[in-house]
Amino acid sequence: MENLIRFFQRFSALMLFIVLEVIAIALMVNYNNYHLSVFMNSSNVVTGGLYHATSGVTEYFGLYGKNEKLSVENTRLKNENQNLRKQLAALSSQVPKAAKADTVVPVEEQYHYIPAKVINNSVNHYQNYLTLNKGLRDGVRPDMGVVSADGVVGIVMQASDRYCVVLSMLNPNSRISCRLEKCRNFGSLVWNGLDPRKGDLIEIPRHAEVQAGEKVITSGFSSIFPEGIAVGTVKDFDLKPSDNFYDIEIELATDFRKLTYVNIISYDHRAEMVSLEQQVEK
Amino acid sequence: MGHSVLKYGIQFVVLVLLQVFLFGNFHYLGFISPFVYLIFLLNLPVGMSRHLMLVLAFLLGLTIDIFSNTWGIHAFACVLVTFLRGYWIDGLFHIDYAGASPSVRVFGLINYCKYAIGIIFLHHTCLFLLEAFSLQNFWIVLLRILCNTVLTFVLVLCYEFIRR
Repeated sequence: MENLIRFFQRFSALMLFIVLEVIAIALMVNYNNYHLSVFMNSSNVVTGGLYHATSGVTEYFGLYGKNEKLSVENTRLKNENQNLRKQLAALSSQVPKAAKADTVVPVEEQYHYIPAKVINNSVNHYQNYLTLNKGLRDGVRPDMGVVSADGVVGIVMQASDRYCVVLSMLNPNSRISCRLEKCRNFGSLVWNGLDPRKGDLIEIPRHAEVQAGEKVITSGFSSIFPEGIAVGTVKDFDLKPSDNFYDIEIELATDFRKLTYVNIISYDHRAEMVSLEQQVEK
Repeated sequence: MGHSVLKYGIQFVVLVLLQVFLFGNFHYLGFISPFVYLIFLLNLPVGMSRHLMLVLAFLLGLTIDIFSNTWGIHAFACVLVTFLRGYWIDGLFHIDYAGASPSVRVFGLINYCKYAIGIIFLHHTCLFLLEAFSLQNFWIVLLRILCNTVLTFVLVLCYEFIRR
C-alpha cells in the first residue's frame, strides 16, 4: 500500500500530464459533438460577445473601401432592375390579356437572404472558420449557404441563439459543387491549404473544353446554394496524359481577407427536398 | 506570493486578448501568424509546482482553442511543451535556476535563445501537425512550422528587450 502511494506521488505529474493530453485529444476527436460545441466554439455567448464588441471597432478601418463597393453594387442592381422592368413591360405587352392568367407561372419565393455581419474570420490556418452575428432566433440553421457580394463564402456548421459558425471555403473539409459557366461540366471546389485567394476545381472530365478566364459558378445541385452564384475564375489548368480529370486552379471570387457583410441563404423548401432524398436513399 | 499570482493572472489575460484580437488577425502571405501567448509558458518560474504549471498550460491552450475553433489542439501543444520544459532547461544548462523566471537577464542572450527556440519549435510542430492531421501536405506544413517559429521567436525576443 505504501509503495502504491509512493508510486503515485512520484509519477503524479506524469499522470496529470497524461490526463490533460487525453482530455485534449478527446476534444479533437469530438469536434462535431453538438453538446460540446455549445460552449467550446466561438458561437458561445462570451466569445461571440467579445468578437462582436471588437468587430465594432475594427470595422471602421475598412469603411471607405466597403462604401465604395456597396455603391458599385447598388448601381449594378439599379441597372439590372431597370433592364428587367423594360423586358417585363415589353413581354407583357406581347402577351394577350386573356392568356396571362393561365400561362404565366406564378413566381415562387424559393430562396431568401438573411443579412449578417462577420464578427470573426480567419484565413491563415489550415482549417478556417467564420463567426457571424446571426443565429437560431434569426432563422439561421446548420447547412445553410453563406455568400458575399462577390461570391460563395461557406456553409453554416453550427448555430447558437445569436451567433453561428461557418465552415469557410478555405477549409479542407469544405467541398462545393460547382460548374464551368460555358461548357457546363460539373466538379467540386476544394482548397489547397495555402493561398486564401486560390482554390482547386476537381473532377472536371477529360472531354471538357476548359479555357483560362472562364467563370466557375455554383451548380445548384444541393439545397445549400442556388444555381449561378460566382465561385471564381479559371486561372490555370493542366491535363496530364494519364489522367481522366483536369487539374484546374481557380482564383476565388470572394476576398476572404476583407469580408464584413455576408448573406445567409435560406431555402424555403429545404426540409421537403431533404426528406424526399432520404426516402429514396433508404 | 499574492503579488506574483496577480502578475501572472494579468499576463494570462493580456496575452490571450493580444493573441486572439491582434496577432490572430495578423497574416503575412496568407499563412504566417505568430503565437505570442507562448510568452506566458516561457516565463513561468523554474521550480514552480509542475501540477499547477500543467493545469495553467491546459487552461491557456483551451482558452485559445475556444476563441479559434480549434478543438483542443492548442491545449495539447501547450501541455506537451510545459511538461517537457523542465527537462529542456535541465538538459541545456545543468544549472539550478530554481525560483527564477526564465529571461535574457537570468539565462544570458544565447542560452535564452536556445531555450526559447526549442520550446517554440516543439509547440509549433505539434500544433501544425495536429491541425493538418495528415502528412499529405508535408512540405507546406513544414514551411508553416519554420516560418511561424521564426516570427514567434522574434516577437518573444522583442518582448524580452522591452521588459528589461
